[in-house]
Amino acid sequence: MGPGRGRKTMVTALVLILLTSALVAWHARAQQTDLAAGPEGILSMALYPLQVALTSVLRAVGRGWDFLVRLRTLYAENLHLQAQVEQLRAQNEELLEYVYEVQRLRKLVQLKEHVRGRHLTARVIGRGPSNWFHTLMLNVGRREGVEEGDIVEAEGGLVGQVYEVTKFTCKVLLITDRRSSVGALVQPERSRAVGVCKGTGRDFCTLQYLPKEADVRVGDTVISSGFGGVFPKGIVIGRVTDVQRNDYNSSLEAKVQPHVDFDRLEEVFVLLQGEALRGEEE
Amino acid sequence: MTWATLVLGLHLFLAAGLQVAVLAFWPAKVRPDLLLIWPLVAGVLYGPRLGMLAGFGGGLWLFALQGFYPGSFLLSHTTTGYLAGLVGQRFFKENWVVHVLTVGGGTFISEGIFFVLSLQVGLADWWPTVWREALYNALLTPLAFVALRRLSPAEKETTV
Repeated sequence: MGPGRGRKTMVTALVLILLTSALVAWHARAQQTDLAAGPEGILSMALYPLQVALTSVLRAVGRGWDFLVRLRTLYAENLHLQAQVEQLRAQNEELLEYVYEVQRLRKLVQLKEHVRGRHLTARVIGRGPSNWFHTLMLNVGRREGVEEGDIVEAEGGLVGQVYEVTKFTCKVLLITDRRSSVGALVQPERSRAVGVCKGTGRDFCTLQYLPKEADVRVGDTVISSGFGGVFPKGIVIGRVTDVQRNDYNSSLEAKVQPHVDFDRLEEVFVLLQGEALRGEEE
Repeated sequence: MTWATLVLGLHLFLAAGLQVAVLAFWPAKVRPDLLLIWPLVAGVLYGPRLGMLAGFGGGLWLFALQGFYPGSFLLSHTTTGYLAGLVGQRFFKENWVVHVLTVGGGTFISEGIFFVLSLQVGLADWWPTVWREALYNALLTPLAFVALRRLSPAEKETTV
């Protein structure tokens, strides 16, 4: 390498260091002020068409393959599903009666109904690129009314929280990410213990800060507690798979397997919190 | 800006799309990092300067798609791209084995830098994740080698 090339490399290195510093500062400022889109938002938007195209092609291929593979078992599966639909319809009728009863009782005791915002259906168009963080990308953004902090659900369970929104897309921090914390409640009547469900960076969460005497057992369902006002109460987080009782700990800890299989997610629901808050104000 | 830099930029754009959309269907928990493989192969083939630029581009896309820790992504990838360029100056860069070994080893260096810069956050299962990532990256390296080797012969820096 000649001296000219060496100087050129040095200058490039200096420019890149300056650019890195500028990007870090821009990102930090965008995070604090929330006024301007950070550099990541602009680049994400540039990639959006390619991402949607690639995901659509892959989904179509996957569905076609799936159809071919399952062709032989479809008839039997159809009969089984029809029987299941009938059974669920009957159960639904029964549950509707309970809903009406709860509504009547709410009126009687004048309990204010918790308003949950509109659910927006969204498609997963990508996973976070790094192995260290558990995130998803959805095909809805500011244009559809999504805001930072909105809650994401799927398959009747909690997925995570929106942490970045562009015009067409948003990014979701999964509950298994190390930076995620959800106020949680152990559902069975005998327990009702309150704790914090923290992400571990692996495919499970840990339920921390449970009272030491709490009756928590393997198989118990864990739901969001609604404490802290970030996550609405009653969304299923997962199931307890292990309970750790240590004499030297002042609280109990439990391992929670999330209800949702994040690797197979294709469609999710975004709960538009902004609308819920406006609804409560009205 | 040279032709090679522009074409490499396009490669990185496609790699970013593949990383989030296609590798989302990767059958294992740990996925390869196309935005590291491409800069390292470019570095070995075309020298430290282009390796550094490609590393910066890869880190920038990673940060954009992840949405946080810009400094960690940019520094880890830029530094490793530069080091790959140094490898290319000392070894026979037309041999794909050199590329495979550089990418495998480069993954440990890049993730090591990222680990140090992210100590405050803490990364779970660093070792089991990184050796798998290094293996997948090394296995995918021949693809990047084939895609990048004819980028621009005029851009190649002479070996010392």
